[in-house]
Amino acid sequence: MALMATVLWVGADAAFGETSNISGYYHVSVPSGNSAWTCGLVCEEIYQGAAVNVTADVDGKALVSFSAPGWTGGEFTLHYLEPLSGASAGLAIDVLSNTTDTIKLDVTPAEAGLTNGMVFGLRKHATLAGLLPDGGGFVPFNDTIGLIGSSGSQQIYFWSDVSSTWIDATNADASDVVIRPGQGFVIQVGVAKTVTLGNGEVAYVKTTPTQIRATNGIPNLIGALNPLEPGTTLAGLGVTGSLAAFNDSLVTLDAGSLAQTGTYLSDGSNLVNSSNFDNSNNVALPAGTSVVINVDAAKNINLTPVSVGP
Amino acid sequence: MKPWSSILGAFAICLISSSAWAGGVTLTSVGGSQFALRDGQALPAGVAVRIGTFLLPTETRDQTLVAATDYVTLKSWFQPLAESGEASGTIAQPGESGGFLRSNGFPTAGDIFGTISNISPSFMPPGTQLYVWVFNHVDPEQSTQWGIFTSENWTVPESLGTRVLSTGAGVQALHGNTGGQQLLLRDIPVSYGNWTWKNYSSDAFPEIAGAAEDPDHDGIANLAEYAWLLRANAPDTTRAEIKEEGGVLSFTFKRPRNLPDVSVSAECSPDLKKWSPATSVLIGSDADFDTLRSTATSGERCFWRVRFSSITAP
Repeated sequence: MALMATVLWVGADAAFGETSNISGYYHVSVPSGNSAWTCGLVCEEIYQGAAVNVTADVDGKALVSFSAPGWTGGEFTLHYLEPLSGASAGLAIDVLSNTTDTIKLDVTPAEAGLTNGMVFGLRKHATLAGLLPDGGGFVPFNDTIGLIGSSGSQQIYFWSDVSSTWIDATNADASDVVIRPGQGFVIQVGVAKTVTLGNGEVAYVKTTPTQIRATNGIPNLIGALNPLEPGTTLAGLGVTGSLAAFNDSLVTLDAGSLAQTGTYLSDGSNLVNSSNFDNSNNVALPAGTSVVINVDAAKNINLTPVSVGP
Repeated sequence: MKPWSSILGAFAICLISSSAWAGGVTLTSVGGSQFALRDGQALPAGVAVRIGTFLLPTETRDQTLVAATDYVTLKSWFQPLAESGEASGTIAQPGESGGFLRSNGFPTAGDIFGTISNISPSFMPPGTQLYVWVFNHVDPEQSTQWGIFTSENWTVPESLGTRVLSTGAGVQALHGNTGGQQLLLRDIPVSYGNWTWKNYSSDAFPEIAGAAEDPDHDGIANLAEYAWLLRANAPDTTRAEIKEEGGVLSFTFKRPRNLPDVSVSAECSPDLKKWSPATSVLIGSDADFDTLRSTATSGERCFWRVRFSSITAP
C-alpha cells in the first residue's frame, strides 16, 4: 500500500498540494476613550501529536508524555497545551514545565478529561510583546491596555519608549504578560487610532474550535478568535449553547465609553434581550470587539472556529 | 575477491538437475569500461550490483527509466535476475531474501566479473532486456549514487546459452554517464520520493511518508519539509514570516532553487475564503533558496499562506 501510494504520486502530473499555516494581519479602529477588544489571532502551533500517556504527577497535576517530540527541557515557559478532542477540546491549559518528552499541565487529568492517546496542540501564549511588539502606536505612558485576571482584578499596562517594552504600573517589564486565547482587553487611548493586530508572533489563524474558561463572580471579557467579522452578530460568537438558559448573561459594551449597551440571555438555542426577550441573535457585534460574559458557576464557553476556504 | 561464479557454484550444481534447460549471463568489465563513482574514482569492491530487468512496456521502457527519479518506483519495477539465494534465477526467487550481488574488484581493482547460471526461462524469458543497476554502497538503501546501464546486446540468452554482458562499446547509461572508458554513477536524483525514502524508508507507510503527513508533529507537512529543506524527524519552524518595514506589512517566504518537482508560491486572501496567488517580488537568493516578499495591498486585513504543489520534474 505504501508503495502504491508513492508510485501514484510520482506518476501523477501536477499531483496535489499542501498549504502552510495561515498568517496575516488586520486593523481595528480604536476610538478615543475606553473600548473592549479581542485579538482574533494566535501564535503558531509548534507541535501537534497524540499523548502516549496521561498520568497524575505527585501533586495531582497532569503529566502528559509524547513519543520523541524533539523538545528541550524547560523550553515551554509561556505555553499552553490544547486538547483537540474530548470534553476540553480547544481549551488552553497552561504548561507548568516540560522535559524532553513530557509536559506538566496546570490541571488534573480528571478536571480536563485528559486520556491516553488524546491529540494535543502546543502553542505559545499571546503576550503583550507578541501582540504589539512595537507598541502599536500607543502614546507612551499614556495609552493603556487593561486585562482582567481570573480573580477579577484589573491590571493596566503602558508602552514605554524608554525601554521600548510594555510595562506595568510599577514600571516593571510586562512584555511576557499573557493574553489568553479569546480573552478580551480594554484599550484606552487619548486619540482615536488604528491598531494593527498580526504585526508580531501573534499572527496565525486558528481554525479549530476553542473553549475559554469563564469564572463566576467576575466579568469575563471575551471575544471571537476570529480575525474576520464573526458574522457581525452576537450569535456569530457561538457562545449561546454554553450559557445556562435564562441565567448566565452576555453584556455588550459601547466603544468609547465602555457603557453597557445591552444584556442578553440564552434561551437554550437563541440569544434574547434580557428586558423584552426579543430574539437578539442578529444584534450587530463590531469586528474584533469583546463582550462580558457573566456566569453563575465556572464553566467552559465554546467559541465558533474560523472557516477557511480550500 | 572471488568471482561470482565460484560463490554461486554450489547453487548451480544443485539447480542444474531441476533446471536443465537454463541459461547464464556473465558480467565483465575486462576489456571494456570500468564502473566508477561520479567523480571518476574506481568503484569500490563490495558495493551492490543488481542485474535484472524492469517490468515496463518494452517500447517505452528506456524512456521511462530515464525519466524516473525515485528509488521506490524503480525498485518496484525491478525484477532481479539473481541475488544470492538458493532459488536464484527460478520462479521461487521472488520469495527469497538473499543478499545483493556485490562488486568484486576482479580480476583487478575496479573491475567486475561474475556469472549467474541456471536462469530459468520461466523466471525470465530469453530475449528479455537486461540492466545493470550499480550503487555506491553495500546496501542500496544507504547509497548516495547509482547508475543504470544497459546495452542492446544485454539480453537473457536462450536455454543452455550464455550471454556476456560486456561493458565495451554500445553500453548506454540511463542513469549515470559513459565516457573516458568509464561507466560513471550519478548522484541520486533530488525528488520528493527520494526524500521520503532517505528520511523514512523505502517501504514507509503512507501515514508516515505521505505528502500531507506530519510525522514530527511540527505543523509542517512532509511536502513542505522537503521544499524548505527542513528536518523530517525533528520540530522545525516555517520559512515564512510577517514583517513590518517602514510601516508596511509584508509576507516573506522561501522558495527552493534546486528542487525540480515542487513549486512553492504564496496565496493571499482578505476573507480566508477566496484565495488567490499573491504577487511576490524576489528580494534575495542564496544557494538553496530565493526569498520572496508579498506586500499587502491597502485594506483592512490580509492573510497569507504558502502553497506547495508537486509537479512533474522537467
